[in-house]
Amino acid sequence: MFNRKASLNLIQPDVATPFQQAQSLPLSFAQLYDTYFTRVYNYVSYRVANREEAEDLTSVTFEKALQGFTKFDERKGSIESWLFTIAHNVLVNYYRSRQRRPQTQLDENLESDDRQQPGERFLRAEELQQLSRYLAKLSDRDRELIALRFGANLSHKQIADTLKMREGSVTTAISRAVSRLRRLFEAEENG
Amino acid sequence: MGNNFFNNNQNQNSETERDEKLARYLEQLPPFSARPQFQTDLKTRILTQAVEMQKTPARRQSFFTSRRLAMVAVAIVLAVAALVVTIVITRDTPEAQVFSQVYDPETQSYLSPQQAQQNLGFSLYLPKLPSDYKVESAALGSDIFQEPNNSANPSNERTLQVSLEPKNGAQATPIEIYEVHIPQGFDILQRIQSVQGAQSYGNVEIQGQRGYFIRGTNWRMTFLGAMLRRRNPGGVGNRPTAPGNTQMVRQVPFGFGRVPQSDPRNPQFFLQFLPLQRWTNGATTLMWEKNGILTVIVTNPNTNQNQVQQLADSFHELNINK
Repeated sequence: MFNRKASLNLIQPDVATPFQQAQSLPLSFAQLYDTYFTRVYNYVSYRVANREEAEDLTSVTFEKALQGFTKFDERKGSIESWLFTIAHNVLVNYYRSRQRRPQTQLDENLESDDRQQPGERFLRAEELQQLSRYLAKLSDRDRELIALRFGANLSHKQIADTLKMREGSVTTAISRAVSRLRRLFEAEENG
Repeated sequence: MGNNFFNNNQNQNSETERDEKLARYLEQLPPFSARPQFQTDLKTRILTQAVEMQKTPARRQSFFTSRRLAMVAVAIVLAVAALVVTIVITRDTPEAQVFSQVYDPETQSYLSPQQAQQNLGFSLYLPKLPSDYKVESAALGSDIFQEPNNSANPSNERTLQVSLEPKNGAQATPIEIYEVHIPQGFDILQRIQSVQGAQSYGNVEIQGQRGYFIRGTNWRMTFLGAMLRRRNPGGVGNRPTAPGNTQMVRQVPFGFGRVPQSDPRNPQFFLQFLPLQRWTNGATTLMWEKNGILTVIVTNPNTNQNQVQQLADSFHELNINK
C-alpha cells in the first residue's frame, strides 16, 4: 500500500571516511527518486488534471532536483521540504507560462493502483476523478494547500517551509481550504 | 466517496466534524499512480544524467572542498609512503613464487605468472600475503565489461581469481580476490544505481581511490549503462577441475546478469553475492577501481574494516622476474 510516511533512509557507513557523505551521485539520487517519486507525482496530479502534464511536470521536478542535489544543505531544512519546494516552483512556472487553469476533468486513462481488484480500481478511479473535479473549482491557493497536505503528505511545518509561511497560518489556511472543499462535495450531494 | 457521504451526518455533526471526516477521507485515498513504464524510463534517464554529471570536471571540482582536498592530499601522501615502503621491502622478494602457477580453465593448463599476466592484459595486482594465509588457488576467468552498442570484437582480456586460505584452521573462511579489467573511461563505480539487501554499505578510501564496502551475503548491486558478461560458457563459474589433479577452482561468490527489461540503450546489470556454503556466516566485500582494474575482495565478516582496508591497501603490482 501507499507508504505515506516514507522517509529517506540515508545509508550510514560504519566508519567515518573522507568520502562518507559522498556516495556516488547516481546511487544517492536513486534513493531519493525511489523514496519520493510517488508523492511527487501525486502532488503534481492534485494540481493538474491531465496525466501527460503530470508526467511532464514530475520529470521537470526530478531533473531540477538532480541539478541542485549536490548543493542541498540539510542544515537549512529537510530534504522533503527542499524537494517539494522545487515541485511547487515548477508548478508556479508552469501556470505562469501557460496562464491557464487546469482542465476540470481528468484524463480518461486514469491509472490507479494495479494491486487492487478491477472493481475497486474503477471505484477508486472515480473517486480520484471526482476529487480532481472539485479541486479545480478551488482557488489556486486552496488547491496548492490541499495538494501539499494530502497529495504530497507534508506536515504543516514542511508546508510552511515550502511556501515561506508561518506554521500557524498554514494550519488555518488548510482548515479553511478543507472546509471549502467539503462544501463543494456537499453541494453536489445536495444538488 | 458515495452519495450522501455528508448528508447522512450533516444534521448531526458540526461543520468541524464534517471537515475532519473529509480530511480523514483524503488521507486514505490512494495516490494517483504513474504509468510504471514512465516511472522506470524517467529513473533511467535521470540516473544516466547523474552518471554524466559525475564525469564533468565542474562537478568534480564542486565535490572537493578545500577540507576534503587537504584530507585527500594527506591520504595520498600516506598511500604513496606505504607503497614506497612496500616496494622497498618486497623488491627482492620472489613474490612470483608465491603465485607459481595460475590455472586456465579454458585450456585446462597451468600458466606461469608471466604467461598469466600476458593473458590478463594487466599486471598481476595482488596483496601482500598475510602471514597466516597461503595461496589456495589462482585461476583466470572470462568475464568482460562491455558498454552497450559496442559491437567491437570481444576482448581477449581475462579476469583473475585468487583464493587465499588460512594456514591453520578448517573453520576459517578464505579471502577471495577477483579482478576484472575496466575499459578506459568506464568509471564503473560511478555507475552504481542501487545496493539492495546489504546489512550495511558505504564508501571507503583505498589507495587514494573511492571504494565501497558491503556487509552481508544477500546484497545485489545494480549498475547502469554497462554489461558484465561471460566471454564463453567455459568460464570459471563452471568450476572445471584440473585433469588428474584434485585442485578445484573456487567458484566466485558472485552472480551477475542483466536486469530484465532494462533499456537496451542503457542496460542495467546486477552483481549479486552468492551465499555459498563457506559464506553462510556472513561476509565483508570490498571493491575499488584503480588503473583500469576493478578489484573485489571478500573476507570473513569478523574481520574488522580496518583489517580489510589494510589488506586492500597492500595491493600492488607483483614483481615478476622476467
